[in-house]
Amino acid sequence: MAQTFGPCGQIIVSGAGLAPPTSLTANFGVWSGGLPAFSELAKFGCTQSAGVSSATLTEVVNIAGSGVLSFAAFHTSTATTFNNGKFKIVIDGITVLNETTINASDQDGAACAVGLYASSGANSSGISQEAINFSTSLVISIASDGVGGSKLSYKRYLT
Amino acid sequence: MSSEYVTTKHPGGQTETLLVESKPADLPEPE
Repeated sequence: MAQTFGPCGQIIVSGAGLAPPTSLTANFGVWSGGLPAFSELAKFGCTQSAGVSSATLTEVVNIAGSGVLSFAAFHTSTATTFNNGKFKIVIDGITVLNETTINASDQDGAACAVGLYASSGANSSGISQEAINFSTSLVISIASDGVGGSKLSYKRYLT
Repeated sequence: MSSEYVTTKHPGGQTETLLVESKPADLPEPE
């Protein structure tokens, strides 16, 4: 970890573990039918993208400027043979999430990287993945399997 | 359903480009 001194004598510490933005890989989880009505997220202020059927990553939202990403979820599609959906989030030019193996077992569910994850099963549980700031840009891309219409639902605050 | 990119410029200076489903073209007015 590097340590230098600022113009007023303050200690400036930098290191890979402190540099934002933090990877969201560990935040990635999947609903298994726990979110059956993806479109209902609009009632909570989420914005939903158009469906993407391409198997190649397609940019669905691009924000230039600053803000806070408070929710982001990927909807597979209704296809029963869905495989290898992709979900990529880039914040301030740095890739913080790059999932490439979202599969049919997640049908009608969603994969969550930011925001609340809640299980509706018998052993219900929930965890709030913390919101994440972006200073200059936020770019989210998704890919389907070439057949189904995958979508993104997200919520952001601009600052 | 086709899609298109729509860009919104916000009061804070941010621009937000989103892939949305294209709206169907308006039907012509009846004669």
